[in-house]
Amino acid sequence: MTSRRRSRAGDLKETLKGGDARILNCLTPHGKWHIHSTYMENHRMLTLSRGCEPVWMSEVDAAELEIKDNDWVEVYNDHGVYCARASVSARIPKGVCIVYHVPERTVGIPKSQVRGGKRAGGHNSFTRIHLKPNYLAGGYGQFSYHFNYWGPIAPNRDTHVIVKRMDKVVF
Amino acid sequence: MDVRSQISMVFHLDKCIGCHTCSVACKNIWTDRKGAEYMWWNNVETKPGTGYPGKWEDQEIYKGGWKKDGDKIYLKGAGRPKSLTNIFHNPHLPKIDDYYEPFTYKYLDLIESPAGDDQPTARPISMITGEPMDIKMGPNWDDDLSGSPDYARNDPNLTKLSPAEQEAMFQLERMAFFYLPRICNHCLNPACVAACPSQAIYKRGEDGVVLINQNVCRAWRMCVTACPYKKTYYNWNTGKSEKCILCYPRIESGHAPACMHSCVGRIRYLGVLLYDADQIESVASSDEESLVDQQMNMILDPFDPEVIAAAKANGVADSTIDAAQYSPTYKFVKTWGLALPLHPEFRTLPMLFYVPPLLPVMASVRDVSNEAQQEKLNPIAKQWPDNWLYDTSTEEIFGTIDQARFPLEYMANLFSAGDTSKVKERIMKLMAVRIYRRHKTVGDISEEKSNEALSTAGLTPELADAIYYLTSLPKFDDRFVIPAAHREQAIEMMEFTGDVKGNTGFGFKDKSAERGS
Repeated sequence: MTSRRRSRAGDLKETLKGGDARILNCLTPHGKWHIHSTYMENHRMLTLSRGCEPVWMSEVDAAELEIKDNDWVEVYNDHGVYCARASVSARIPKGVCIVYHVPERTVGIPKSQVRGGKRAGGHNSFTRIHLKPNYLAGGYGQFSYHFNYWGPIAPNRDTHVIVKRMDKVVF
Repeated sequence: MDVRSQISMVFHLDKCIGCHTCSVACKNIWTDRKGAEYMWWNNVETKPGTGYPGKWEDQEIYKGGWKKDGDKIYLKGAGRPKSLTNIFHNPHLPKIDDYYEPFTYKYLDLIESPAGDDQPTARPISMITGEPMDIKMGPNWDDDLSGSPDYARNDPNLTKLSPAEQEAMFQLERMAFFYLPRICNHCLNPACVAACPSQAIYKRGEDGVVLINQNVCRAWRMCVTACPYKKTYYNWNTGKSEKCILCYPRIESGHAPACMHSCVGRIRYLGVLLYDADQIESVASSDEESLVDQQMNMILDPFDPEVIAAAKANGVADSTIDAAQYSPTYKFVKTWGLALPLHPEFRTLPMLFYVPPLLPVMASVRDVSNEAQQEKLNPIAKQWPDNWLYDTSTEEIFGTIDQARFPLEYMANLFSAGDTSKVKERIMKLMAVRIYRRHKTVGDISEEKSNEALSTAGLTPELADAIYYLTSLPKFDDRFVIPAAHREQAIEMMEFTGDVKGNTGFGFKDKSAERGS
């Protein structure tokens, strides 16, 4: 088994690709709004984005899945599910999807249809939670649970996910 | 010669990183109000893209700007007869969906939702109706080529390119894009001023800032149609139109406008230009090929004793003439010939100039075989099956410009009414400065080659040093040279705008409204 297949298996042991879906490699680009002192879920930055943190995918993959720009999609694997809109771009290579920033689960995230109508998580719900030891340093409450799901920071992505169009949008 | 002063701007596009700090600064100060939610007096667009409002450059849709008919120019979609026929319905007016329906989120649901087995979420609601909505458009919707099939591929500037050229622009790892920040151009021949049936819009005499008098505006919205850059906006709450005011309260107290002050890439320059107002009518109605040259010609040399005398006679303050001599925009636009106006073919004579981006043109797409390239390149370099590699190893100094990754025609459609030689001239200068600096700092380019590059581009080492300094190392006071305010001379403050009815603020239609008459 190649390392590529092993890593897919690590993320997609239990979850089956059903219907019109594709397995994509979800990567993390350099953040788009990191230059700003406010988080991207601030009203201003959300307006300058697309009102959400979209999943960017290639024109080729989108065409095969019949996903149009701005359609709602579900991005999921064994670890969790994230529901967002698709941004279909010529900039993204085939077989890859990206999510720039950390969406707040409390802002405009619909319920997941592939997970029995439960509220979908943020972008980190489909990443593996392997803690780096230096995350344990500090003791300033970085593990305490609040609104957002605690996971690794965005640069730790690089997982395999299943992407499909959302059947219906329920908030 | 009727010498007047104009606060003008230069945006250096190679330096723009598309961070939208300018947009946020402007939004927070000026348009964070009811009725103004959808307005972004400053916005940043990705090119190629359709922009905000969608396809604003396509005057077949919006009928903005001037059109030449015979020797004269006329407003394309506004003016008295058209205003009268469209009095109840103006078909060319952008709709809220052309901009975007402003949205927020129903945050209260996070606190007030009844207990359930799932976490609540704040769903998007309209800031106009308060009802739940589907977000379908935003002020930066096609950011970084998002939605390229629907947006970037429909950029109005692509229409003159062949289908093959267009397709090449959207091939992975061969594509390029750049950011285009836009504010009101504070034009010399503003179509918004000319179109206003209520004479509510005027161009300030002392610095040329174009303003809408909120007490006189009667919501005709002809300015919205007339402005080809779609930089006047209608406030649905106050029933008045609004636009960028170039932060005049800040300028009057010596501060740079907020968008410029906050610019992270330091791409923005602001300074005084002296120009000959007698030429406005003839320049604006000149042939398309000579529009850019003519506009450059009407900008006068602030060191010329005749110009200074005429400026003084016209009441331009000494401090303003001083500022004109130190103006960074004069250097970029005239001395160095590096900047161009955006869409000069709209004939409004914009006073915001852009240094065209050099960045994407540094590679050649000449037909070369992969094997030949392999010799020169790192073995792990990317190859394509169709034998079409970027040749970045050319020995020719300017060999890559004509095969630019970003076709020169596209740049020319944006900045020079389709004339590629104007854009090429400027890009050659930018490249020559880089070659010169590489000779100076890296040393792998010989002095002969560096001198050859400079002389071909029409520069000298001294000029190249000056361009390098103002591009890369300028201090705040180098980028913004703002003359002291002379409110005592602001005669427009006491002028009744009804007296200048039907003209563009200068009276080339109605000679009775001349300054000082």
